[in-house]
Amino acid sequence: MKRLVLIGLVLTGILAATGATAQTPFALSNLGQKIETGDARMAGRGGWGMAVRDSVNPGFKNLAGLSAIRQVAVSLSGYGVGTDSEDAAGTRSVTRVMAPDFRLAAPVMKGQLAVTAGFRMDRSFRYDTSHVLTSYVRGDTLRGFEEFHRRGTIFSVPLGVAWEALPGLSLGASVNLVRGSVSESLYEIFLSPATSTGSPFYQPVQQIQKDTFEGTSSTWSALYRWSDRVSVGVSYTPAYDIDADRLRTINGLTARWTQPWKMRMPDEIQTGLQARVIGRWWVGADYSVQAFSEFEGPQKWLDEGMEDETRLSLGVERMLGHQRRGGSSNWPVRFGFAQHRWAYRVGGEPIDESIWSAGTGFPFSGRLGVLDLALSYSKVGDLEKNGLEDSVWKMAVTVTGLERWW
Amino acid sequence: MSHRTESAKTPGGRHVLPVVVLAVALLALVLGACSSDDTNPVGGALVDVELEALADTLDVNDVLEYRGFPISDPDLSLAEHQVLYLGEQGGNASSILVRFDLDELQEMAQEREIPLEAFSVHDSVNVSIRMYIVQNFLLEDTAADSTVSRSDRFLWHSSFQVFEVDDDVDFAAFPGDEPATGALVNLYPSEIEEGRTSVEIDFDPALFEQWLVAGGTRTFLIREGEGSGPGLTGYASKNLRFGGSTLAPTADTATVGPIFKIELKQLDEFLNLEARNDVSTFHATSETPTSVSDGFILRTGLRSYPVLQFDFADLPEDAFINRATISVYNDTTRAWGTLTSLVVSEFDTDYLAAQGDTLTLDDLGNAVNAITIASNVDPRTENRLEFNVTTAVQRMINGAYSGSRAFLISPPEEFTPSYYLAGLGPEFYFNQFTFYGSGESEILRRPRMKITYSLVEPIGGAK
Repeated sequence: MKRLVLIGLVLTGILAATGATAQTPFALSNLGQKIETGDARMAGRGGWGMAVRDSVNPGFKNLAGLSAIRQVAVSLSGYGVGTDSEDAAGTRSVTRVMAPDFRLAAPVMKGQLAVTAGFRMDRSFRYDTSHVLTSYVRGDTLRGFEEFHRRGTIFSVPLGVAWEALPGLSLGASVNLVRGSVSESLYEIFLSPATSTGSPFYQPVQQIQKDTFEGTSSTWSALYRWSDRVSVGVSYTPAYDIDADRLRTINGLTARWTQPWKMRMPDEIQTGLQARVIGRWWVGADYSVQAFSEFEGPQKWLDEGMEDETRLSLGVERMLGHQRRGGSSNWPVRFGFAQHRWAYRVGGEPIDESIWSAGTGFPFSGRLGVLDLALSYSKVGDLEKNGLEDSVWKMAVTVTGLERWW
Repeated sequence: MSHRTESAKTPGGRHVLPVVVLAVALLALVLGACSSDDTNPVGGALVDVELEALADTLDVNDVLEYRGFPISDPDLSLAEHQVLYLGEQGGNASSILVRFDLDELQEMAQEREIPLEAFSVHDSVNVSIRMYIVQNFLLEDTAADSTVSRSDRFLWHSSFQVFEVDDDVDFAAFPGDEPATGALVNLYPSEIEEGRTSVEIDFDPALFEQWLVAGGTRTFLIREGEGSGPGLTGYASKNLRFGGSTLAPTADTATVGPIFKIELKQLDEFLNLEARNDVSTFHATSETPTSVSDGFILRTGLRSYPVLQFDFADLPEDAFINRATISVYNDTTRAWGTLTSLVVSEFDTDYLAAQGDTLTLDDLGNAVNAITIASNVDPRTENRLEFNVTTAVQRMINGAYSGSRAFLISPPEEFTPSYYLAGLGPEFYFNQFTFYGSGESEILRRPRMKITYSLVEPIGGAK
């Protein structure tokens, strides 16, 4: 019961904070920002987790690893993000809170077969920008501002199964229902000239373009436990189509257009390895690549330049200790580094992101769940190359609860 | 890694975890509450699309369709109007028909125990028709001068002629030709003192006694006499319901319409015989121009409203209308009347009848959707009128309607409920705005539409 109260408390805190706005200006264009899924445990050690097969703190990055679970597992992850952005126009600091990942897994045959479902945010489009607007028309000097908002996400609902086919070899498969939307709103507001009652002479323009997405992908994965010291994992998501419907409106109902279009998301391969070095110390690495050079979609995006999206994650973890009266020496310690190249270019150059992270965790009593924390700092883009640069502090928190529901 | 561990004790102690959880929740709340600083230009370089703000302006001088519609009100005949008009103005001419029932006067005398012989002492009897002035037209040179008192602004008819006409005249047949006149029956010329707020037309007491003795009804036509000042003057009819607000404070609002006013000096008695019927003849009404190049009019009283449809052919596709105005130019030298509010409405062109056809108020109500109003416009002093029709043009060019729309200019009517106030309806006063047409040599006086628009391109990242 106490555990549920704690989970509820964290959940309440995260949901209460979702009104925050803005993340990175890079999300203003193209496919937006890829949201690194996974829990705070993985985030603390740089992101590696493809080779995790853990019954106490299950990882959902490689579904094959869920075959180990013996109890129902619920995992909720949330992020608090503070971003300082700089470009030629100046600087801006923004904060945001989001809950991009919620997972559930249930054993069918304890330690051998499990099913899983959840919600996973894949890409996020969220930023707004504005500038002062001055126009001259018919002898009037119009003053106001122009504002552009981009908001939305592409998320997926993975429905999967994990099975330990052979001792040490687990397989996983999932069908991912891909959904989402992105709206792009452009406002031009002319505050003056105005009537004596303050009503502007000139009508503001509000143009909204909303794309809704729908697609289905599948992911196939495997995890092989070479020994108690070494595991490897791999997953493959074949290329798939996302159907989009565009609705464009100008000032509400005065003009509406709809237009269907399509984009093809390329293959994605993820691999990972983890090994115990000594005692409770482990090292691990993941590498993923999604060939956005083969992306098919809006010509405007292609013209901006697409890149193969890659991510290399390296990290170290001192596992949870259980020494009686061990105190803080029992705490897990994690730190890592990741190098991420985004799926598209800005300013004609690739966007590179470097991430340094650290984290720890707190198990619930009775081994029935874990609360993990991670803090990371990352640098996104380069002012000279991309004309824009971000410094991002992110705190991740994941609550994983285990329950014997049957 | 296989962590089927056996530890039973929380490493950090029993109290660490709740404290951490609370801290995390609090941090999440704080981050959310901090949200973000204000939007600024950072990131704007990545948005390579923008509206071409107020890209251009378009002056639409071509009127595609025009109608000048006489409007009829089947529920209110001219004989039920509250104001009677006398005189000539801008091609309109009207006399006043009144009918009195002398039997009523006999009964009145009996009730007050006044013998009929009292009417025969002619040198001690005064008889006149009294009419209260409701509307007169301000003298041009004093209209804008607030120091000139209201009464001094009146332009008087200096004389009146009253003729007896056949008693079977149908008052419901007007507007129409004046009936054939009989003898002139008033004392003529009947000079009216300037500055009065009512007129009294005197009669020969001997003649009046004959009418009284004969009894029955008598019908009279009141017409302008020679030397009268130009212009129409409005008088209170027996139907006037707004005497308190439209008549001078000294008026006897108990009997606002035309009356025979009889003074019996010997008995120190006054008798007021109210008209049984009254009506303006409007035996001549100005022609509504049939071509917009010749101008157009907006007339209240006997309603005539213009409908104009502008040509949007030169407006680019994907234009967003930031501002659209209709401007019309009133020729103050050919307009008259009281302060009038003007409403511009969308007009469904499915209701465009042929030029000269009459529309009923109900037809008009079905055809229009009010957009905007210009309040309290003085037809004698205000020439350039501009109406903001932005939202209507947005609807028209963006296909919000299946058919096409024009613009109707009218005073507030019941079918423009946003702007209509119960009270003096548009039939009350006989006002007229006379607008320059599209053939006017000075472009600024022509009816035209000014449009300011933005070109709208697809926005955002995708094609």
